[in-house]
Amino acid sequence: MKFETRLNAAFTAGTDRIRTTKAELKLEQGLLRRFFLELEGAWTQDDFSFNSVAGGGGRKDTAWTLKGKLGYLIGDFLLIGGGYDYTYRASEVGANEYVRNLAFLDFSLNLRP
Amino acid sequence: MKIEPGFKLEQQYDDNLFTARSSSAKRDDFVTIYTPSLIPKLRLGNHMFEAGYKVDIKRYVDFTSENTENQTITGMMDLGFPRGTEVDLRVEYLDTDDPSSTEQETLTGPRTARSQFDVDLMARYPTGPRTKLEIRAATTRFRFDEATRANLERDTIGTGASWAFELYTKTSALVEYDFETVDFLVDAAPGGNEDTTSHEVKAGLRFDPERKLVRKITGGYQVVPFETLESRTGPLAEVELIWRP
Repeated sequence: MKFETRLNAAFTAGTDRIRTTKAELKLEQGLLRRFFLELEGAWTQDDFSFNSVAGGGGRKDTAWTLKGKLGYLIGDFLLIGGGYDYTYRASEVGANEYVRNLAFLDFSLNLRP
Repeated sequence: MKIEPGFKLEQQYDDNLFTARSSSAKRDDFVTIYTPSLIPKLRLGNHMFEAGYKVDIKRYVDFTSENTENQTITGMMDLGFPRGTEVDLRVEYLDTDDPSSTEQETLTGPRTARSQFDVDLMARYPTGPRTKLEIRAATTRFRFDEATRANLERDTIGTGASWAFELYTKTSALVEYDFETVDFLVDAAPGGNEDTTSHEVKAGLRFDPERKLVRKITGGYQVVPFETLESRTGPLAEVELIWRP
């Protein structure tokens, strides 16, 4: 398995029935052959202002997400990784605001004959 | 034929399972996710076939009523023909409790029992020594388990084409057109019908270096006329960069 560095930046606007504007930056970085690092940051704004069915009441919601993961390759098939996700969502309608923290540890086994 | 089995075990700690606003209303828990998967692959000359199945088995320590299984079934067919003609087919079926996006989570909550069926077909054909035509078609079927979400159930059908003209080695000018119809199964109250037929026209540049920077930059204009709501129009921009130092 080979790790490579990828930096992916995207900006999209005007998707779906709620106008969503999104900017994201992702980095996948191989370190010292067997370690890898993934970092991701995104800003999303959902504009409900034209949408009556969605119950938006003409509001805009803005969400920030940050994700980080550090992984290590054991042998050829087993990956072990751990990381943290953070989400903050602000809303012009207060009830939709929240902060969420998520920590994780994972093991992946992929057998490729 | 090759068969690739896989298994993933993930342990999560989530401090706000139900995305509550106030600290006092937050509910936290440990979640264990078991994900077995199986991917058979078959190559026949220039043609590639692949299928896949995986299931995320989620088990909560305290909130056991939230235990769930999310299933994904995929199919892929890449056909290669002489003179650079390619035909790709992708099929995906999801049976899940996860929202598809932050915008959907806002409407339905963090647990969104639903199914989604996607079919994507794409064909690329070189129309000349420096030009290439891509034609695509897609359909998606959104269904929700809860009757209260019936107003979000919809079918979409889209088609589009891109024409690329190679300006320099690995640099092309692009013109893209996309057309999509969205048909909501339940039409909302008078004045709220959101069935649409949308058109997007974009132009831009695509860079395909084998290493280093940049893939695609496009900009354009979107027209989404609703049947009864005010039409939505506006500019579009899409930038995708991949950097390999």
